[in-house]
Amino acid sequence: MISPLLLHTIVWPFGLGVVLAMIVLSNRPNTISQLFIAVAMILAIYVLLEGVPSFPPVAAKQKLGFLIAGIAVAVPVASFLRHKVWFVTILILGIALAWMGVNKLVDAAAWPQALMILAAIPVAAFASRSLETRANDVFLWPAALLAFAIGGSILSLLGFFVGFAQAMGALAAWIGGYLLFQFALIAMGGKANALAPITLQAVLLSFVSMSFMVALFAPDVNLLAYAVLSLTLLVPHFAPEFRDLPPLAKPFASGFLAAAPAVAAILVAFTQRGLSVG
Amino acid sequence: MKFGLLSALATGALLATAASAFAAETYKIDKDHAWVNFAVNHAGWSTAMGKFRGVAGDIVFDQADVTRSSVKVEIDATSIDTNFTDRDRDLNSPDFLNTAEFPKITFVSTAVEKTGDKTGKITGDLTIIGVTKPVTLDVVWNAEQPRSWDASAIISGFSATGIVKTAEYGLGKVAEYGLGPDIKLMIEIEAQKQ
Repeated sequence: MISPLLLHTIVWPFGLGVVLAMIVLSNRPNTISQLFIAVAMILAIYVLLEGVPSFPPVAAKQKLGFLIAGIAVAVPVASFLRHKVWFVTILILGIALAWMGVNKLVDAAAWPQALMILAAIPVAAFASRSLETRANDVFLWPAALLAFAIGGSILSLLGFFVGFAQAMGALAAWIGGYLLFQFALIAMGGKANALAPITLQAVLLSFVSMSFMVALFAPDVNLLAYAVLSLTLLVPHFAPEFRDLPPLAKPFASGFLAAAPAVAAILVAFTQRGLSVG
Repeated sequence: MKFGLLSALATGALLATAASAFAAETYKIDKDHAWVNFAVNHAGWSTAMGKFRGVAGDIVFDQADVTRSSVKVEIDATSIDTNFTDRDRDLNSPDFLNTAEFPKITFVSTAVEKTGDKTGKITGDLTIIGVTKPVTLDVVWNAEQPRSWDASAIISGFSATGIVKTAEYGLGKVAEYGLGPDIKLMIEIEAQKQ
């Protein structure tokens, strides 16, 4: 029998990821509906792990639930108004960091830490420029998000914030379920569809907002490692197209490339933790 | 005659009020002799223990009429100590005490009830992680006497116990991780008369 902890952290999110891949494959919903479904799944994972947030929200992790719901509305509206993707990324992540961090950031002692976290926003904004250009690659952006979530989960665990190690791990299971279905499809000779750029943008913003919880509130977080982890998001922008590789090798190439900054971040956290302990 | 009776009643009431006011003394909690301990079920294996080191506050204690007493306590949430540093860090996270956002735990009494010669119940608002809920403590007044080496320092000592229901505070991770869900408080306080 699977414990509720594993069920909520791995099994359900993985299943939802498979369902998302099936929905994308069916090509039925329009892009806005696809975005809503994807964000609703992220919200469902959040509620499974953290419960329904109180209203009005008091703590940052309660605000996070409303932020993710807000992303589902803000991204389509910004797209309709033809705002630049990088500008929307900066705006939403800026609001997320300020709103979630306000209780902590009233203390000036936390400002240097906030500056380190703030660095992730221009990185995400720059990375978001490739949402359109690389959206046709079924695996590239999801692989980067998978690496980002796994890295965030491990950094959270090393920073003594088990709850968000679970949350980021659940996001990894979700995107992992999506990727595994897509890979199985291609392995069986099928043709996979990619997530719409607008959906990817909403998912990216949700993942980064969740990672802010780790960066802001994990009691022993390593912010240098977090800064290195954010470089994972740049991989889709700089990654080659792997045209010479066979189709089944491309996902692995994308995955290994995306994993590099995440592994580096984990090594930084492990090394510095070892130094501080030893 | 009627005026005389009213006047006497009014004077009596005034004197009684003044006497009560004088009877209420203020005490400052001695942080070096304050133990806010807690016990929590640890997955059925054992009862895990811990304490908070940073405790401060004032007690207004009316020995003649304890219902006129009051308590105000502030606890440094980051001072939690469960005899294992890594676990204490974990308890500081938003899964539990969320000390980065809510560094203080406060208790402000709202009612004091006398239940015996030296016992009573203190009901008050306990605020943890920004959520305020009423909690009732069973209190024993142990003694009041001067320090043996300093007769001018009058010390009163109290013991208190109570239960904190973590679900009321939205601390869902407590039960999810096999703890509690309720936490038993065992408080020992010495306070110096001001």
